[in-house]
Formats: sequence, C-alpha cells, structure tokens
Amino acid sequence: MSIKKQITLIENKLKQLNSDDLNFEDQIDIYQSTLGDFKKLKKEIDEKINTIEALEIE
Amino acid sequence: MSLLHLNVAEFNQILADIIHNQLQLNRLCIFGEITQLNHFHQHLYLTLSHENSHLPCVIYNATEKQLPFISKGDTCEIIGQCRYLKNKGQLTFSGVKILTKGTGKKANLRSKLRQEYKSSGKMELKTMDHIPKTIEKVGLITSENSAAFHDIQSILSKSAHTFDVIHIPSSVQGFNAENEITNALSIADSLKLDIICLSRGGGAEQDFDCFYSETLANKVCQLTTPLICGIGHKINTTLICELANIHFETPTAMTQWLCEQSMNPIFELESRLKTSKTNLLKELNNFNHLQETLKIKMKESMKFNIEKLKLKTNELNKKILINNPLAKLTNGFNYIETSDKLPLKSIQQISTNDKINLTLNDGTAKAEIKYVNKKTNYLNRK
Repeated sequence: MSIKKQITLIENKLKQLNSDDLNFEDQIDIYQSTLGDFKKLKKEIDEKINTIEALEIE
Repeated sequence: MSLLHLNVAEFNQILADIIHNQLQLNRLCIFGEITQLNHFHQHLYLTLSHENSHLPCVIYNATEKQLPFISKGDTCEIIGQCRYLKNKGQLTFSGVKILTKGTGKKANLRSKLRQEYKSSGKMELKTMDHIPKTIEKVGLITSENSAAFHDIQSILSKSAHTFDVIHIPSSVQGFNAENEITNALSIADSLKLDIICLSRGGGAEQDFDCFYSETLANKVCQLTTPLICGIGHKINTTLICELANIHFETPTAMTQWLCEQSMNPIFELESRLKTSKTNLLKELNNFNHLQETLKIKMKESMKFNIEKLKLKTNELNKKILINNPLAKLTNGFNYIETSDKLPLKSIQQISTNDKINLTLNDGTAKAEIKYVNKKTNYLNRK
C-alpha cells in the first residue's frame, strides 16, 4: 500500500477514535490498530529515507 | 687503317676549327619559322624551323642590335654564321641581323585549326563537369620511362589517391607520336576508365607538333571518357590541351590535382562525419546538462517531500498519543459505561439504582447509582 493511502487510513482511524459512539474496548482496539499501522508506516518511511540518503551519498 | 685517338676536348676543338674556318658557313642567310623564342640576359635564343627541320639560333647582345619585333610563328631570315660550342659540343647559328617575312606557315595552320575548333564549339564539348566524383580507374598515356612518367609515379607513391593506374605507353614526340597517341586513346576509351590522362614533360617547341594534329584533335573530340592533359610547361598550351576536359601546366600539376580530386569525396565524408560528431557531442552535452538540472531538481523535490513526510509523521504521532484512550484515565478521570456497555455521555442516560461500569487506569469496577442530579452546571457553580 502506498504511503499516502496508509496515512489516509491512519487519519480515518483517528477520526473513528474520536467518534462518540465507541465504548472503551472498541476505542482500545482501534487505538492499538492505529498505533500498529503508524509503527509500520514509520518503519517504511525511515527505510525509504535511508535508501534515498544512501543514494545521494553515492 | 690506324685509329686517331682523341679526347672530347680535342675532338670539339677540331670540329670548331673546321666549322669556323669554313668560309661558306661564316656568312649565311637562313630562312625559317620561329618556333621557339626565349630571352636570356641580353641574348636572344630561338629555334628556326622549316617543315620537320630545326635549327637552334642565338643572337648575342640582342638588346644592342636594332632588331625588328619578332614573335613565335613569324618567318624570318637570319644573317649570321655557324658556331660550334666547344664546351657543349653543339652546333648553333649565331645571327647578327633579322629580316622578318610575315607569319609562318606552321603558325598560320595552328591558328586556323584553333579557330575552326573554336567556332564549331568543339572546345566547349568537354568540361570540368564531366569529371566523375568517384575516380577508381585512370588510364595514363605517356612515354615509358620518360621523366614525366617517373614524376607521375613519384607523386602517386607519395600522395593519397583512390584510383588504380593503367599505363598505356605511347611515344609523345616524333613522327609516330600522332598515330601512337591516337591508338592509345582508342584503347583507353575502350577500357571503361573514369579518366584518361595524356601527359609529357617539357621540350623543344617542335616536340609538341603532334599535339596540334587534326587527327588527334578529332579523336579527342570523339572520346567518351573524360580527358585531362599535363603537357610540357606553362608555355605549351597545345590544341589538344584546349580540347581536353581540363589541362594543367605540367605532368606534376596534373597528377597532384588528380590525387586531390579523387580524395575529395573522402574528405567530404570525413567533414560530414566530423560535423555529425560535433553535433552529437553538442547534444550529449545538452543532455548531460539537462540530466544534471533534473538531478538537482529531483533532489530538491525529494528533500522537500521527505521533510513534508517527516512533519506529517510527527503530526500523526502527536494525534495518536493524544487519542490514546488510556492516557485519558489520569487525574481522577474514568471511563464510564452503562450496563449495556454504551458510553455514558449524559446524565440523561441513567437513573437511580442503575448499574454502571467504571474503567480506571489500573482496573475496573461496577457501581450502582444512588442519586441523580440532572441540573448541575459545573461551569457556573460557585
């Protein structure tokens, strides 16, 4: 999935998290899922930045 | 019979004595046509000709003698004496007086012939335009082992050229020259050559007689192969020279031109290749420049996008931290649900004796509502 789509997905989950109708367990589930998605995205972004910086040095 | 043994000097001395003491040879008047005329220092050197006979003459200190204006082709009588030049072993006629007798027969004939060919347009039949651009086979008509032949060979061995030479030997002076050259031209024309070269070196004017021959001139006009001439020196522009596609002052000049002419297509190709190379290098430079510009722009763009992405990631991180449900459960804040596990967001959802679920930072609890006050306004309370 593209970075842009992943960001959109996380932002949608955050919106969902702020919704009034969620009970606590659902909030925790969505939060953990969002956090997981974010960590995955962060790792992917860091890897890409490292690759680009390595190419620039070459 | 005993032999008289002499060295060259002794022999020349005897011959000079005989000629100079012969009274009949000391006062002569010789008639002929001037076929060669040269001034050297104060002396005048000329050749008198009559039909096929020629006599070298000299008039010493000509500038001091009141001589009439004479030119090549004039007939005249020269009064003088025979002299034998001991050093050279040559007989010459030393004149003291010249009497002009009008234009000579040979000069008249040549002039008439020239005029005929000119007025019939034959002198414009063969032009430089008929010389092929690609020259691969050349026929060379000249005397075998002559100085001209060796000069031509020498230039061919030193100069780059694209053609092979087929030598068609022919005498280029004397009685047989006219026929031999005509035959050689016929042979050359049948060989499907690109160019025929007719050449000979310098010499006495009478040696060039064959190049004024009508038979030879007609043969030249009939040739289908282009003809170039390098005959004699600058002064020897013969009828055949004028009928050829192009003529040169000397065999050397002719051969040099031929080599250059044959190389022209290669030089042109080389020049075009150089131009193409220059254009390609120019385009390559432009491409490299464009590539560098794109590289810089791409780097800038990537840098900008990376920064943008970093900012976005930070923003998301902050939002996620803020939205952590557990982070809200501090400082006495709890999460409350109804018995139906719905978030308790309004006092209107509960009544006395209802059971509710409490979630705290470090555990959960269940509670029962003892009292409900639906009018509390926390912001306006005192």
